[in-house]
Amino acid sequence: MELYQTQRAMRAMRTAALQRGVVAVLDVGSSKIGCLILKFEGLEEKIEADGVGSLAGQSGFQVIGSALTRSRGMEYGEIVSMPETERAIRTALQSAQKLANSRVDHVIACISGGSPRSYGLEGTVDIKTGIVDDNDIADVLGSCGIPAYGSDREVLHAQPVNFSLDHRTGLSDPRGQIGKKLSVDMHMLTVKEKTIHDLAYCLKRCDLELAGVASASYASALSSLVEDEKELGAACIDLGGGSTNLAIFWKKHMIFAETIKMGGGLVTRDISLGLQIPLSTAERLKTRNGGVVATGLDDREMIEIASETEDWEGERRMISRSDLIGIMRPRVEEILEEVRSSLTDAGFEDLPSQKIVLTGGASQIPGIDNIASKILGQQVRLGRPMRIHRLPQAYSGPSCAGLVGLSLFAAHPQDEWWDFSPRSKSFGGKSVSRAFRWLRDNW
Amino acid sequence: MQQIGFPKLKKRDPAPSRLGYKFSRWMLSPFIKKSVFFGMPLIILLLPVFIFLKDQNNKNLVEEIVLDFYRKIIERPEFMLSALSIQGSSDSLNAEIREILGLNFPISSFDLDLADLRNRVLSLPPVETAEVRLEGGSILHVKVKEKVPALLLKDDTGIHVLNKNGDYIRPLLSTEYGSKLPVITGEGAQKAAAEAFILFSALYDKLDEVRGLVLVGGRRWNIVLKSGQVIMLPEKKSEQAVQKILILDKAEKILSRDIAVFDFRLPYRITLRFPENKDGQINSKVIGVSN
Repeated sequence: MELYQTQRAMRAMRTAALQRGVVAVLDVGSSKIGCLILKFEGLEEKIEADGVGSLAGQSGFQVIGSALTRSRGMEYGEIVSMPETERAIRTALQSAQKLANSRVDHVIACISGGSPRSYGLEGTVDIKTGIVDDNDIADVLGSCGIPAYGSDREVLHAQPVNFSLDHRTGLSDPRGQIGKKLSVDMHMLTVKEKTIHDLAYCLKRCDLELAGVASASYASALSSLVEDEKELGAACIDLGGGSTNLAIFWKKHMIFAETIKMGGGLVTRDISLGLQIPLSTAERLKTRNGGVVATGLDDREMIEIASETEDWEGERRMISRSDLIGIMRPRVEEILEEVRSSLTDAGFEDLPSQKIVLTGGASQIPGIDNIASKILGQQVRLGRPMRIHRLPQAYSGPSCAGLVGLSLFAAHPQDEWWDFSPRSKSFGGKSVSRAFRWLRDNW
Repeated sequence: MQQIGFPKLKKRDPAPSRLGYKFSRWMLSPFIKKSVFFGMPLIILLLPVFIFLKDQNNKNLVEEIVLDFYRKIIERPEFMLSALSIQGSSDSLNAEIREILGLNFPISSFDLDLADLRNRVLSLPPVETAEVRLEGGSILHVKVKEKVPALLLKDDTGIHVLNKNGDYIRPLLSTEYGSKLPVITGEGAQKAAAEAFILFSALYDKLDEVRGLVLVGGRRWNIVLKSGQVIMLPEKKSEQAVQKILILDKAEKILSRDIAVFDFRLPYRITLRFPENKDGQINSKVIGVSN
């Protein structure tokens, strides 16, 4: 129940931030920290005047400031060195604020680590009045049996996925409909309490208020999947630097999320180890010359590796691109195998459509869609985040999918459990309503 | 072998310090942002001006320049008035109006206060209404209506001309001694002049025989006829009394009789007083009875 309160407080904070008109979204990742400052005013009228809103009404805000900086003190999406992370967040926020030329006090962040766990919950309730209203929804959400997810974990998302009213199922919003029995399927995502608290503390040290948290898997999926994929069933795989986040969507709702603690950073480490070169050189080699599918041409394409130590002969080496691919491919395959096994665990095969969308920084490796389709299935595409108003070009690549998704989340968050206030069961509430009825009847 | 070269400088941390971060946020808070980007430049721009104007000489200099510029604008030929035209007044009043306005043409229209000019014209006794306006851009037009002389007031200081409301117009000029205007006199006669005018209007066909009206005791009128007869009128309803006298005169020709005083002070009891000869005896011829 404590989390219920914190989440409600965060929703109130988000409302306050939207009233002020400026809110920041912050993606604290393992390899980079991205920050966008969103402005929420003046766009609604413009869109209404046009008649048709851009991005099918998903818009309503614009990006006024942005910053991208190297992440520090983060590993596998979790904070390992608080002062370092705080510095990195400060760097990102200060440059974004400078660009936006406005101060921002509220921030919406995403969490990629904390080993998220998904739970499917069910609840059923009888409707007394005959017509479903907000109170019934709150009742049915409250009737869900909460599993013992552990005292060190917290609920990050609790989204009603599907409502059933008597024999009809697949309702997204049963309010106002007539029935006797309402049941709900809810998707609940928990993460380690420590992860959220660390992040909140870090942001507090930067004088910021946390106005919302989202799972990184959810955020990337929001921006990378198109409506049809969300409806028919799709998995969004965000291949990040430190971890790989995957989210399964069906019927426009997230039904499963998972984080695998392997990412593009591992590939860099392999290159560094295999070629005996520093990590920074390895990272550049990966991004400039990397690949996962070797061809005959790659045997002849030689890459010169400059040395850092001023040792003339020994450190001036040439490797072929095939060598590089030979190092990268097994690791990428391993990551994708890992993804497949968790998809299998989640029962992804049972969905009507098995679309797989690869996004995130590591999805930019040439040829990854090729081997992904061999490992994960035929329906693989590379996803890029949707465009939002005034998003800089540098942020439109797949590596910023989480950031863009967070912006969409900030603008239009999905109704969650805590958005419905529970019916007051205490005697006080009842007597108040009775007194109200008495007043209404007698006047 | 010892390596030769510069000692490696410590790589600078790109992150802002806590203090720097807080300061940058403080600078971006709305009030500070506005005061830095608008307030400070404004102060910096205005400060030299204030310092310059603090010196009295500089202030005078600036005022002089500004005033000079102002005069240059208002003294453009488009704004200059060349003449005064007065309508509806006699020559003597004309001269008086010109004197009281005291304008030296050409004069700029910015220097004129039309309401004040109008009040000045109205302050002249013979003027009843006045209208002052600019006409055609270069002519100041004054339109007046003179008070109409209706009564003459005779008191210790001389003879004065009044209009029908009793407003003073001017002393009687020597050329007007033969004036036909009815005369009033008595203490406080000017205040009751309007009443006198009504009485004179009632007496319209006997005006030639009337010498004047005398206010007695500040409350009622005596009509003095040229023949020396006196008609004493009541305090109230004096006009009706006059009409009664006129009717009596028409019917009985009482005014042409040899009666000294017609006392109408009590409307229900008219009293007549016969003239006395120098011995104090009533002339028997007058009453037609011989004693």
